Amino acid sequence: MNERSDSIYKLQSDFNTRAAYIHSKVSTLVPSQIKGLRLKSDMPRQKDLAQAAELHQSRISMFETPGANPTVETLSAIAAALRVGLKIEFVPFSEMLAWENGFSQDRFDVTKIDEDQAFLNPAIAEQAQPVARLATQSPVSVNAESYWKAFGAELRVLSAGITPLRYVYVTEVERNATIKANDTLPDSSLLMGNWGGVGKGYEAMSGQTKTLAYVGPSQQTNTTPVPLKKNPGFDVTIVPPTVERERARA
Amino acid sequence: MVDPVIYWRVCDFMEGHNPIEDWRLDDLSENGRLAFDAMLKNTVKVENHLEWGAKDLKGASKTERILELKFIADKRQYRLAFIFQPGRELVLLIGFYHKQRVYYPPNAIETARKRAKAFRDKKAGKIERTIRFDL
Repeated sequence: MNERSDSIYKLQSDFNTRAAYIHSKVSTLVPSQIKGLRLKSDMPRQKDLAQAAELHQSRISMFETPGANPTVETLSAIAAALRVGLKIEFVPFSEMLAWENGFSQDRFDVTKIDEDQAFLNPAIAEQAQPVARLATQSPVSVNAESYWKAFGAELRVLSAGITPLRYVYVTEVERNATIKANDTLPDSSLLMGNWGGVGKGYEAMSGQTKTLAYVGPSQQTNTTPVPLKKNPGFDVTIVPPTVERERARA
Repeated sequence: MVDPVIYWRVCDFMEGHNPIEDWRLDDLSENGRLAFDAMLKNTVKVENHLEWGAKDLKGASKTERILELKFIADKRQYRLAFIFQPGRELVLLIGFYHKQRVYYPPNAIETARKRAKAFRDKKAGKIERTIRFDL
């Protein structure tokens, strides 16, 4: 029996091993999340975060140490001080492992309440459902501009002149999404809906990356949902704003 | 499975045997071993070592450039003394914890200093530690 299968056997058969395994992951990644958010916040010193969370600095130091065991109450106070929400969720072991492997303190960031448009403007957020849902539901009237801006999307002009102006609204759920011209994403991961026969909306899942994009006139209003089509290909280049920002910074 | 971005390589100090792995297996509980593994797994993914929270090892001089990483398990704050090596590598020298001025294992700071010197003088070696991403 190799080391991995031995460990799997122990995890399956022993409660204490499972509890220790779960605790090791959570108690490493939660402190790392706190540290990552603090360093990116406008209060990068532990002392400032402590003050905002009404805690002592030494406790922030401890809660950023791998293996720390803060209560839900303390985590809520830290989340409140960082102006973000908190979600605690039971998941399969595979999902927990994927979370651990994919987690990066460097890249971890969370939208603050002051910038969380989906929370601040629920009316727009209600309209701002994924394209796939739009295409499968009864007719709705959605203004493309408000739809995409609700996601914090940027507007790009692709071309002008003889051909009608075309716009791309781009947003993302995770970083590093780059879809180049004529890229074809896996059939199962790509959904497309038409926007009044002029614009097209895309929701693409590729690995851990989700990209939402709209191509068409900026003020197009859709009232005619169409069945989902698979694999239409892309005729635009989509570069998420964060990638552009990182390039500019570099 | 998501491919993690790994910036750092972790090695154990070696002098005939591997004292880091011996300590991990003999002195740490199952909780401690899992916490140790998880801490290293997360650390190697943080590019800027200044964001690890590592500090200079107390009791060693600045010129010795020995640092320590911390993790908590079984209500103890364990420490791992290490030195940096070129090419984004760290060499673990010793794992220990202390209560007040009593160190477990005893003379941990002195051992870390001796091992750092032995390694830099090429009187001791290292072995790369495997960080598991499938478990």
